Amino acid sequence: MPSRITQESMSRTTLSNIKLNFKKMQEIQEKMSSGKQINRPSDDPSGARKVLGLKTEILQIDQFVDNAKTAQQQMEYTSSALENIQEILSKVNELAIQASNDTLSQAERKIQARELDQMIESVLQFANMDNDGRFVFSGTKTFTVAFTATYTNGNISGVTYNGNNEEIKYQVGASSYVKTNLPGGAFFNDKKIFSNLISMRDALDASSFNASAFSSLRQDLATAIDAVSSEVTKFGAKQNRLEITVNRLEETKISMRELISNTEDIDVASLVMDLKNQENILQSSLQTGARVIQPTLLDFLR
Amino acid sequence: MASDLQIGLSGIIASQRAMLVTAHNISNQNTKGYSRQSALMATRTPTTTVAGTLGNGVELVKILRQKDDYLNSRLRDISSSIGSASVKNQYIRELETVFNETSENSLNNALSTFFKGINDLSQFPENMSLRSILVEKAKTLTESFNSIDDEMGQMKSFIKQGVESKISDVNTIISDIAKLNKDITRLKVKSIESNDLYDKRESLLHDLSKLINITVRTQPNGSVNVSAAGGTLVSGSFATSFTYEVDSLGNLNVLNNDKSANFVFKSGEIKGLQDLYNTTIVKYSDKLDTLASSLIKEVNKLHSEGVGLGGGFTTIKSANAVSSPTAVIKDAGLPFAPSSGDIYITVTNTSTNAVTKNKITINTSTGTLTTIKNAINATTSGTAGNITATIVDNKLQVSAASSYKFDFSYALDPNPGSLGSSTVSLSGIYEGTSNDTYTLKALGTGTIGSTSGLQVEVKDGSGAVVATLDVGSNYTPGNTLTIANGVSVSFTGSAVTSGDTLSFDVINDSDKTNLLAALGMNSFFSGTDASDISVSTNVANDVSLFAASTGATGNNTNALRLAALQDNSSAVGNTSLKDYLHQTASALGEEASNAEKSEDSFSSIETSLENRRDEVSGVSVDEEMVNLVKYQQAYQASAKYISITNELMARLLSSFG
Repeated sequence: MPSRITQESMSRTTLSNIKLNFKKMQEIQEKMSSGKQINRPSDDPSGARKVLGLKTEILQIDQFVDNAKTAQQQMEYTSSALENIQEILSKVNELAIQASNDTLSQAERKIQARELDQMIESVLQFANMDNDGRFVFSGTKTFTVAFTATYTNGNISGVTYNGNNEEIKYQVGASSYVKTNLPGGAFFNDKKIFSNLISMRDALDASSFNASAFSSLRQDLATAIDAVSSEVTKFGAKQNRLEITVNRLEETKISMRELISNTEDIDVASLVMDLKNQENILQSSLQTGARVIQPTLLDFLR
Repeated sequence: MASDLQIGLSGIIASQRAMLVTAHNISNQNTKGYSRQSALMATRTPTTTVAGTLGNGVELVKILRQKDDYLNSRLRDISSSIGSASVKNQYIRELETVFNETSENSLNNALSTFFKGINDLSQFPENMSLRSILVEKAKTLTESFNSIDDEMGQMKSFIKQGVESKISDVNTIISDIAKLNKDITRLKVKSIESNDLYDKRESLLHDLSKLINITVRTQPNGSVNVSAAGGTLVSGSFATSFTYEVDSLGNLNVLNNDKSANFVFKSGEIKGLQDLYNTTIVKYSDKLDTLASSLIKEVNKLHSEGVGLGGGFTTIKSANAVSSPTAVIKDAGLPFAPSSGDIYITVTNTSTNAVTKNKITINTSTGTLTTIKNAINATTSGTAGNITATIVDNKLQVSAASSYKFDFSYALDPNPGSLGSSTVSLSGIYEGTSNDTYTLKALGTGTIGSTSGLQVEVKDGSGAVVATLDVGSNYTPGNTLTIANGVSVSFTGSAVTSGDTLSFDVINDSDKTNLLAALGMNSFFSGTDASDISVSTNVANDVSLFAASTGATGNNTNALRLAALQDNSSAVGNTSLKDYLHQTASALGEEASNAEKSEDSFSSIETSLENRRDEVSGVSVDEEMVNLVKYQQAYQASAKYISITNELMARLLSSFG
């Protein structure tokens, strides 16, 4: 116990306590009004670092989700073009079956050849499909029309690929990328889609029908149809996988949000309790101050 | 009888004076630094009689100043500590606000947004508006760096002003102390204790200790000698004075007036300000600079290896000049030192689309900008006059001849040559993690596409077989065959002889030396640190130059690489850019929180020390009132005694009258 208590030390103690209580009140009020435990890193340096890290990760996840959704759209374009091509090729196949029929006359086959010309044009049209100005099958040479046809007597006699063989990838995870395109050169040329159709048309157009050569062309057509349908299936499977990726990313995001909220957000109930407590303490410190500072012996010496 | 009255008078005088002392105390109860005084009374020299000594009344022998030198010196120490802690707390809080990391406008957000811009562009690298958005985001990021750097610079100049004004305070206080010393000693010679002057000096010492930590020694003649940081500030009536100076290292030093001695204080406001100026702000400013320079370096390293929407370049000039074209390149004053290695320059004939890959090897410990220039001019494309390197204003300039373009990309060489007489074409994007050389070797003799069972083996640089390709009768010449790591090959249907080989480089990093980034060729950011980081003028003026690609318009390989930089865990030392920033923000938060805690704890120590000092030196009104009553009563009693003595004398005189 101090031996002498002076007015000055009493008011100093009272004042410093009132100041301290006001400061605590202010801290609680700041948290209440901002709704956050951490209003600046110094409020909780390790918590702040955690929150900063999580917030950056959420931004990244948002980006991956966005990338994945755009990738899905891109794939959708490619696979719908492929589906259309598949459909045309099936029709070509039906036509080829009819043409193989021995009862057909050469004149009738020539009519079929014209029909096939239209089908080749349609395949070319889908192979040159663009998505908002970007050619789907040109590899990464997206501003270049994928295929150009050369015409002889008004009919397509050859098709050249102008794109390249580069794949386009999108980032859908920290180190996970997904291929979104199908470079047309490696696909259409290697599967001989155009050259085969042109050969078929020429076979039907010829003065005499070579059945055995035609049947080998039909076999190549079957391989091409298989290849197209297998790409369509692959794109479908990839889109499904992306759907799953997106869902998983969204789930991760929710749990990260929760973590952020646990670290950063206020617990309203307990903060209200703290506020009430602090109000009481502040009031009593003010009241005590008022009583303690006032009286001296002067008040009683009359 | 006369001496009887004298005793009464002495009582009256002593009580009256004691009341004056009390009144002085009461009136000074709120005076800063005032020490309570008390009246010391003693008996006057007694008269010796046969019966013994007879008292002669009272006298006021001394007015004591109630003080505790130890507590005063402790209070000075703590005041110095509070001085440094409080300025530190104040400025670190401000610094924290400058960094502003938890808010929406933080550097952290600007950095994330910049990478989001790259990522968005990677979806549609052809899109001009996405390119413009990305450049705007990059500008926001560089402006954030600039403005934080600027604000830290402003804080430093405020602090310098603070030191200047506080040093002038110190000079005033120490000269006042010296004057008081002189007055006190002059009175002391006459055996006068000038209590109030002592208090005034004590209060000045306390003020001084808030600014700098001091040691005080009281001398027998009543003066005090004040020293700090090993030097004397006040000795008797002599006072030194201080000045400050920013030295060549940028440190703010406090020196004596003739600048012969550097005073290094332990605490006090000036020390706190010096620490902020010399250490704390410098530390965070360095961290910000490290972050900015790493971002510039890493982004430019990747950017320099890509190409913009228009493909290759017709002419490029480096942004950073070397000190001299003949200076060894690693000591040529570039923002960072490149390392030795290979650089690939791809030259494309824009009319035929024929591509030539040139490799130049750079030795940074012997090479100079001139040797690099010569090496470029000595390449196949250089000697053919398709590209020309020159040095302009100590900067490297590479230009292509008309209908030629060049780039520094890591795209595959589409036409590496022939295997036997079969022409080989490559396609795809190499995805390996390091540069390599693939060698094709014919395993048999025959014609590609017709000889049954004909095979071509592919080996990597280490000699391991990466693929064996069937190019026999099942192979249609011109079809693509997959080798590995994204590389595909196709052959024309010509003859090969067993043992024929063809080697070609597959490149992941077309500039192992990072010379391009160091020189600032095809760079995205210009500048070297947080103060001058900006988007390079070329890209800012023409967003199509942003190198998202390695060749074709829709190629997003380089954008993906740039986006992945965000997660590169060795972008800044051994952390990623964002982690480095988060670490810095949290370290600053930690420091701010500690500064506040230490100021709080010093303050509470000060409060308790002040209370203890008041126990000794403070004025208690109650006590003074008690004393007043006591002295008043003593006065009244003495007066009563005089009146009784007076009555006695009157009675005596009247009985004889």
